[in-house]
Amino acid sequence: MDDQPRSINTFQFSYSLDRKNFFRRACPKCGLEFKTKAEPGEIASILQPTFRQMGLEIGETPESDEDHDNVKSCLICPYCGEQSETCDFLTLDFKRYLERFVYREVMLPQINSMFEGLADSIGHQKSGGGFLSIELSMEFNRSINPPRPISGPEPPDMKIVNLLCCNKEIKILENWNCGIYCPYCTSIEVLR
Amino acid sequence: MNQLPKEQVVKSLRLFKSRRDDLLHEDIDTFEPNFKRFCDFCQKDSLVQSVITPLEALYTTDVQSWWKKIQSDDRDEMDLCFPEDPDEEFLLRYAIMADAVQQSDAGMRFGLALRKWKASEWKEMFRNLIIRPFADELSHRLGDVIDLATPEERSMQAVPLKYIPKSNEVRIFLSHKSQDKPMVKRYYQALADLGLSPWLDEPDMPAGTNLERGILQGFEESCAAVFFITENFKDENFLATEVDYAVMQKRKKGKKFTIITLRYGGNIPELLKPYTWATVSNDLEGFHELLRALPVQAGPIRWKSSIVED
Repeated sequence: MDDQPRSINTFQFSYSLDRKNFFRRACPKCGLEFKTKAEPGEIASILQPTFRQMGLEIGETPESDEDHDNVKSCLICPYCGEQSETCDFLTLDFKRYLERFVYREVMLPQINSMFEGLADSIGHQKSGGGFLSIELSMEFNRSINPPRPISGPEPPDMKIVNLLCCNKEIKILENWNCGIYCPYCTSIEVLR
Repeated sequence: MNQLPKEQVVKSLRLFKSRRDDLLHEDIDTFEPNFKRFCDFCQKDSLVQSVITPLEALYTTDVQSWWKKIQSDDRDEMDLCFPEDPDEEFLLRYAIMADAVQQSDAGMRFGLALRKWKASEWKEMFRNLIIRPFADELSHRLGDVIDLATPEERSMQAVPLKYIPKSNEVRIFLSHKSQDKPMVKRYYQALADLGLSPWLDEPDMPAGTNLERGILQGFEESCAAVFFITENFKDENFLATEVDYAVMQKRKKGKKFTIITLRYGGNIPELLKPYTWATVSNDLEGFHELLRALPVQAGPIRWKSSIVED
């Protein structure tokens, strides 16, 4: 059991969807973009890897358990068939947005409070005697926060594909006319 | 609002987001060039201008008066002197930015008004208090504009390979008495118009074809056999053979073969009773029952080629 007290921070995170509630993704292997319908329980799984990199853990989210159950942990690229964790299918733009958000909303407050604590503990100290003496003075000026990042707007691009196998919709590149893999069940599909 | 080509919208948005994020998030030392690039883009891009221009027609902005207010000594420290109306505020922010690009000391004047003496601080304040709210509002407004002004996305079906039958297994065998041929031809035509593939003896058995062999071939290529039972129907040998063939196909193909009986009158032969049948009073009702019972479905909606081709 970990007896260390844990600090809990609550924050709101939002990201942009297109007018039909599709979320843009990019394949980690071939780099091509597609979109899937955004699931309410997905936000936590998208954020989790970035938070874990910083030793943080996402706790409760407002979504219901049912929402979490509906979220697939893996996805398949419709173009090349690459199978990977859902959170690997993020666009570079979105990753940048996420990093900026986490830096501003999570890391920076921690850094600020750490330095404030340090400044309070050191303040203005003198120690001396003998031949050597040292004078420590520390004042922490909180810097102005960088602007809060903005997500979107998300263009209503790409064409909608109804997946007959899973009864779901995705969006793929307008000029893609070959067969596709279903991102949810791996079946090979013909576009009609 | 006129529709905008999707490609133009996508390109504009990509550039907008890139210029906006460079300005908001790059190092403060690069503030001036990024600020100029962002303002230049906003002034020239037709998508951004489709948000700004209608507002400029409605409101007049007085940037100089705003500068006086913001630099005034008796200003409340928390007051940024923006109008209450969100449209006017948005437009004034845009005008302040356009003005600030022209005047190199504008950012500094703003910083001094807010008692920020260091260049990095007043740039950061200008970015946070003037530019960021404008960029956020413009992002929302652009989102609304593109939703209204771009065409609806097209929709296609992705069909798993196992759903796609071979062309030589989806015919629909139409079995009938010769007296009922005019009615059955109407079914034939309607099925063909829907893109399905009906089989009828007359068009599908060229002259000289061995009758038995032709019919058997028709059944082999079919996914359904439809029996039209009318008062004319008597369980005579010819139809009895076709019923036998249909039952044979059903045993062979299982769920991928359906025996459908449409009863306009008369009695249903005993052999057909275990399979799908419906009593119908007219062709439309019969056609509906037939479509419901078929193991294949008609294709997705498309424009006719005569409509879209020159």
